[in-house]
Amino acid sequence: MSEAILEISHLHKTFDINTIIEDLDLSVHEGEVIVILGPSGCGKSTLLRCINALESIQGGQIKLRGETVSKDGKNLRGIRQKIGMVFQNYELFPHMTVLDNIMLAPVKAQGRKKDEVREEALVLLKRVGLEAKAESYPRQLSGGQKQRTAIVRALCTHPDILLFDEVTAALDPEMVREVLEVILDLANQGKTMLVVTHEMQFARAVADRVIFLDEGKIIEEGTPDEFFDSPKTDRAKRFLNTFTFERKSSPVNIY
Amino acid sequence: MADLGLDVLFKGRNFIRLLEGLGVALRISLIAILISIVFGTLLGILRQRENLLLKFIMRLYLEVIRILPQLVLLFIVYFGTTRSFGWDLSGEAASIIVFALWGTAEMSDLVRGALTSISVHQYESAAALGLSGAHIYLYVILPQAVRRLIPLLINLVTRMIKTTSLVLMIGVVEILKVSQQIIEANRMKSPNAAFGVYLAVFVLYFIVCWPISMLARKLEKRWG
Repeated sequence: MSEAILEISHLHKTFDINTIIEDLDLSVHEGEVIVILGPSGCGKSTLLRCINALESIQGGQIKLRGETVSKDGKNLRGIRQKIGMVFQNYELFPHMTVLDNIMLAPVKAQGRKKDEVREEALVLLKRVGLEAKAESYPRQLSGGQKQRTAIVRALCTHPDILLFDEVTAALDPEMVREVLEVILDLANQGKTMLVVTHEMQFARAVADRVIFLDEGKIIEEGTPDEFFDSPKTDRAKRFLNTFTFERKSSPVNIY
Repeated sequence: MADLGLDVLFKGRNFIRLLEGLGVALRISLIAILISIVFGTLLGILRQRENLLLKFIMRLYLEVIRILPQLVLLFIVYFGTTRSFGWDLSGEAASIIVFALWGTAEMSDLVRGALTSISVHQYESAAALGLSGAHIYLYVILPQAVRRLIPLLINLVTRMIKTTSLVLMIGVVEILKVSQQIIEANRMKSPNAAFGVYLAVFVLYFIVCWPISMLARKLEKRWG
């Protein structure tokens, strides 16, 4: 297997007296797509937020390509440019056009040439089907279009790893697919990704490895087939059962 | 038809004098608002800091200025300082000081409100892109804050222009003082002058403040 680009060891995260993540180890390899599943409040979003230092950590270490990620570390901005994050509520900048949203960080933070970045942004927008929306403002877009824009914005700083934090949770059902297809496409291109989602079908399709978190600990991990077809722990079984529906009683005969 | 005393307006330089009075009122407001914008913005940004002492001092300043009627502030600065500190302030200078103190306090509150109204997720998504703190403020936070601020700032400007009518109490000859002088001077020949002159004052204030209010409403619609 290729080298690990992200190494998390003994990660410990607390909010006041509440332990959110407890002694968590995780290595992510180049080109790997890891889907993180778990009940709400299990710490999966917090884990993603720790990885790009939006949260301080109380113990352990996070290393991206050997460089320690820390909230008051030296090269935090450089590291964050190597980590693309997409949020549940898009968080586009409402006063900027789609193109300006995408170009801001590459031009201002990375000092790249405007023309070159614009060209790349337009190519990426075309790939997600938004080339016609380059000059639109976020308020003129649907939720799915906003989220695709946010994905392009995260891609344009050329990150080594992408973090997706429940990116379809705020979307209308019919817009979920267009966003998930973009993420699948990125997986097929060999991008390294950590994906937190509640879309089980999608998780199964996109994941190389599934990690099941509960109460801040990794309870189970394995290939998607292993995890979805024969979960080893009861906790995982119960979790998966919440996504299937069966009619318990036999249908009432109305005649 | 009732005699509205409008003829007085067109006697001699009366109307020009009213306009000059309006000019004084506008000059005081304009200088005060410029000072208020500069210091109010600075203080508003400072109030974001998690410094308890700073927060307390700012809070105290804001409350004191808000609780005191502007007239009392004018009297303190104009009459009070003359005896106690031996300052020889002109009425206009005292007015500018008072309005700048008041405007700075209000402005700092508006700036603080505009900044805190921007969701923490905007800071986070900008930070996640690897932007520096200065860039986050410059390109993401301030442009949004300014859009929320400007309609409120414009309302403050109109309030300030209207409140300058108080400065006649410390002897500044602004539009209302000029009106009183005109009415006094014409008491014998046009005893009804009060209505006409004050009507003119009303119209002049309206001509100045209405377009400003309209502008605020328009910006609010465009950015809302």
